[in-house]
Amino acid sequence: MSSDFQRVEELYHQALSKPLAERASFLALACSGDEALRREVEALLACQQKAGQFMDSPALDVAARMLARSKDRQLIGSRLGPYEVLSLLGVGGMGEVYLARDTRLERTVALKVLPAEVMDNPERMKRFVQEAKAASRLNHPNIATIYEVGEAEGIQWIAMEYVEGQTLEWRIGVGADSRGRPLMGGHGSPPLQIDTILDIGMQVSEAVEAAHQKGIIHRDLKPANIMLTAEGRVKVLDFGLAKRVHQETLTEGTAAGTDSQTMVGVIMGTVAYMSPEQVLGQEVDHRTDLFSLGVVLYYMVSGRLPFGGASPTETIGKILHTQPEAMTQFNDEAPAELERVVKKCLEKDRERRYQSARELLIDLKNLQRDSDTGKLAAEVAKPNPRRYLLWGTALLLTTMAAAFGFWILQSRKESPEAPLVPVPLTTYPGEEGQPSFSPNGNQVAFVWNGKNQDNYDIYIKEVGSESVRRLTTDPRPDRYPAWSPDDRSIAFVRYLGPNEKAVMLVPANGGRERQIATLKSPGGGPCWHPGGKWLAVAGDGDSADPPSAMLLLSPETGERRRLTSPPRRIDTFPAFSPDGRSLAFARWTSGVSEIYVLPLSADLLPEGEPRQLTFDNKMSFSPAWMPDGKEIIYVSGSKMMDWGLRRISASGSGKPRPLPFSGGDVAQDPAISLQARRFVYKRMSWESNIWRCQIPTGAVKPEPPSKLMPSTRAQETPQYSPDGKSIAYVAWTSGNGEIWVCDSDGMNPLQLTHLGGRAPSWPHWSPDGQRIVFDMASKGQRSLYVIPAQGGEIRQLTSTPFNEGSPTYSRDGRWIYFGSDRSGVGQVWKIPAEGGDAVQVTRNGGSTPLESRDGKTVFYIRSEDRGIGELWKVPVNGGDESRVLEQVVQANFDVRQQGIYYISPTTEKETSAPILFYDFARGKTKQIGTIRDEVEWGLTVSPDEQWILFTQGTVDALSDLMLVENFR
Amino acid sequence: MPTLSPQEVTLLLQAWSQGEESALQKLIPLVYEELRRLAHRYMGWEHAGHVLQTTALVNEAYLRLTDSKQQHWQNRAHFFAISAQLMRQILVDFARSRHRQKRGGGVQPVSLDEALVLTDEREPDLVALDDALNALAVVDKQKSQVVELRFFGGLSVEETAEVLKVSADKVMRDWSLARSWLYREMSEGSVGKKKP
Repeated sequence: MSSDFQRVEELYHQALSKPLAERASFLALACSGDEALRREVEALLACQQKAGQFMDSPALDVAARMLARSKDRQLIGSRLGPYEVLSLLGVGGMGEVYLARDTRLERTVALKVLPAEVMDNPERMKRFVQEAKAASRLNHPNIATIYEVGEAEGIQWIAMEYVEGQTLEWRIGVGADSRGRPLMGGHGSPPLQIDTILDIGMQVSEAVEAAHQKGIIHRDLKPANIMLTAEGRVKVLDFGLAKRVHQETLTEGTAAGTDSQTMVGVIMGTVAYMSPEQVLGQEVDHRTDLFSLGVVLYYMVSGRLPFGGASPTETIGKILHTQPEAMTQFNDEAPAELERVVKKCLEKDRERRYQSARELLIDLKNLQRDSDTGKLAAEVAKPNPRRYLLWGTALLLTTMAAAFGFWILQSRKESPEAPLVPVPLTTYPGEEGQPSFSPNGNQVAFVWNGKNQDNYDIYIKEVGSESVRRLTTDPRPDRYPAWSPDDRSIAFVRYLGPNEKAVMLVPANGGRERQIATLKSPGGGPCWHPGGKWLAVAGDGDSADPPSAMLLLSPETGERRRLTSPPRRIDTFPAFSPDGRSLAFARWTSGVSEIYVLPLSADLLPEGEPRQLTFDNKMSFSPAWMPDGKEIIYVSGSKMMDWGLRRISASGSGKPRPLPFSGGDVAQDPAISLQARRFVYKRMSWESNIWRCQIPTGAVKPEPPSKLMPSTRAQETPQYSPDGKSIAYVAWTSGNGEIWVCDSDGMNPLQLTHLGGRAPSWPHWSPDGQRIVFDMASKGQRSLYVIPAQGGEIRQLTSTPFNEGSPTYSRDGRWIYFGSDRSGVGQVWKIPAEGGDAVQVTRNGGSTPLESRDGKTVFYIRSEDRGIGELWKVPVNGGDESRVLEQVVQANFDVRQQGIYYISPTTEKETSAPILFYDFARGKTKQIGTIRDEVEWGLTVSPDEQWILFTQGTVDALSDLMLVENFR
Repeated sequence: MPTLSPQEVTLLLQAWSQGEESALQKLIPLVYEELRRLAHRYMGWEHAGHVLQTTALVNEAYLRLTDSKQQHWQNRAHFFAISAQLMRQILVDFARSRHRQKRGGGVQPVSLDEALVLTDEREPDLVALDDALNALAVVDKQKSQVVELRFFGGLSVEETAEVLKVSADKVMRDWSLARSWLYREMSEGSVGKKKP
């Protein structure tokens, strides 16, 4: 170090120790005329202040965020055609909506960018653009104008009028007063004045009438699509656009299965505003919009949905066969005439509804006129005779049978108890998570990053009601709510800065917040002791190192007690047992975490050391106790995309078992109600797609890989049929995986199974192409099943208390190979295809078998660890086992006459994995392709070896809360 | 991703520190795996920024890369120093490759003043930081080491002090000055730099 620099350093530190105001004079004196020195030190001091959080987080973190960001914010700041993309307004089923500037006209627009799944399908794209162009002919003050539809750089966009204001949904559902309390009915007075409701209703009717005149139906009228400007103007969004996306994804090309498939579509979307004909998948006409408008009116008047159910299924049932309760029960200002008008909109038979928006508009106008002249009395209307009850019931039964027929039959055969089925509790845009039940289990506090995904706050939702209220509004992120046992307050964590968090307390019905403590790096939220006097938190009040221990915190006195002292470990996610005598938590050690349980005395002192409960050697965290205190539910997985829920005995006896219903979900944040037998968890949205890539031959350069078909939500495990004309695969649509079959070009997808929540997987064709074997959940384990390739009755092939899966046919069709832990460890077995006794094939461990083309050898995966395994082979009747390949990812291999196609892990300086071909004759490997994202299950090669299908996935930042009733 | 045993990692690190470049190729995937793991979590949890367990997550990632292996090293300080160097090389290369990709697509508009220091999210540009750190090493070797150990190696103040055999207070002071110095270096660019 030069002496000059030493001097700079001395002065820098000396100056820093002085108050800001004195530094300049100090330096002037100390430098005594050496201007260069003074400037140098001053410049450094200025940087010291400007640097802010510069280098506060380590480089690995910086790089990781860079990687995360590069995937999701590519558009902002770029140009699409004449538009400059400014910021993200929201994300929905329609794709993303950005705020953008039209550089030609210098005006601000809302730019919808269509999701890749629409853009990837030329036929759908064409229809969509036609529809949008038709809608762009609408020019009405109550309709958000579509300016133009266009394409630039391979991205299809729709430029629309940017409406500044709030959605009607926000106004009636989540609107809050200055203290964050809801304006909702049900908790207090009704949200909107009758006059305002009539005004909004008339403006929407005008918009709908104008569109209907041009032959355009909205199809998805709901408060979220109705904007209110500050001037009181109503603007209806998305005419003719919204529903197209979803419906066509699901019904396309399958005339046969329309009913049941629309059912799937229905469950995906917002059911509550749909007309009976929509729910039934019948053709809709303009009168569908009038029904939806009736639901909107009803909601505005009464503060609740006319056909609200705790689950989409229940809601559908009510739409089809229940008459809504009189609105006057909830709002005694509702005029009888309005009751009649709304009921007429809500007629189940469309012939009995208003026949045009104009008729409705006239009635609303008359109502307003009468209201203005004070003629309306707030008399209660008499309930209508329930004319359509019988009709509705019949329809409901038909629909249910169509949608769930297989499943009902199936479950009756197997189990007298109804299966646990998760249904969405919240389906807001953005991320919802970290739920906590109220003591009676009827409300859930949770974290949501809001309509615009700009701030994490605590919200509360009542189970079975559509309304949600916002509990906190602080601009800093609020997370991890925990409802107190006395029902009075909710504890949560507020993030003050990168390393500092506050534990806060707020009354459960809103009110003043109180800070209990500040902590460094707590992971996981606070957890109340059942006695209500203490909170367990993760964190360390003294220093950031060690990062986090288990602490007890008294909300009343602020007293802290340390429960664990992990050396260079991280203890997170505390959870008290229902009796308060044990604390479960997750302890991180060198990359994996396990669940530990710490026994506590009656006065909450540790009794001995924490006991390790899980030995999964993965990331296991977020424990939640069953009400009887005998079992713990927790999250486990080796990477985010396979995070799933498991249950384990709290005593440590027995192995952890996956929760069967969460099979295909990336699940997190389990919460259990001690009183209501309810279970809620966060389901993360992720996407995995089947991609198709041409196998390079000779000099011809293959085309780049492309998606086989638009994404549903997830697709995996594709398998070519023996004739190469069809592909069987698993797709998640409504949150449940089902087996589908499509043409070799991805067209005409047909849903083969309707099993709901049983997570069928690994379909494989019989050599004659007549049957498909697969595995699925059965009583907590997986078993083998066979279904005719054309659809039909499912036959169970194995029924043992063991986990059995990944079945494949032998080349002569007489045997089915599979992996099973019958012998205590996973081995390859085979069973006669027509049923019979299973025979063990491997002796030293094995899974995911596949017979060679000559029928002499079985290839399989062995020693799999975190998704990477070795490929081995053994003669079909057992014998010498030998290793063929060292590293195969997620059992992705397919065996052909000449060699093996497979995916190997990333070994180069790349974040992508190579697709390889191993040549039997030459004993050599060559690369034929690359996988860029996360490698998922499923690789198959077409019989003519022209094409290879593989599966890759991505996780995105959307999530919903899922509710399971009658949890046990 | 290949799973390496702690012994293998130790051997590879030793080989690399003795100039064996091929060892680096085997270590890169480990770091990339952590990067991707962290990135995925950010995409799932952290859309709006920098909350929820960031510290724990990153510590955990560093632990996985460095912690369990340290007992195989006779000289713990040496181990930390080597792994910090390794992290620096890999992460800077990673950032460099992302820059190239970015140039392929449109470049993000950033105001001139900020462009030199910060990327679009007000985060340090690792490539520019690496250059600046080389410049700092010429002026004051030890301060550049403090930055390498803390920022790239993810070490705590105490661990950094242990490696460099100085007091924790000295590390804090060096860190403060180094940070200001680097910030200025990156704001001004090397052209305008004056010798003190």
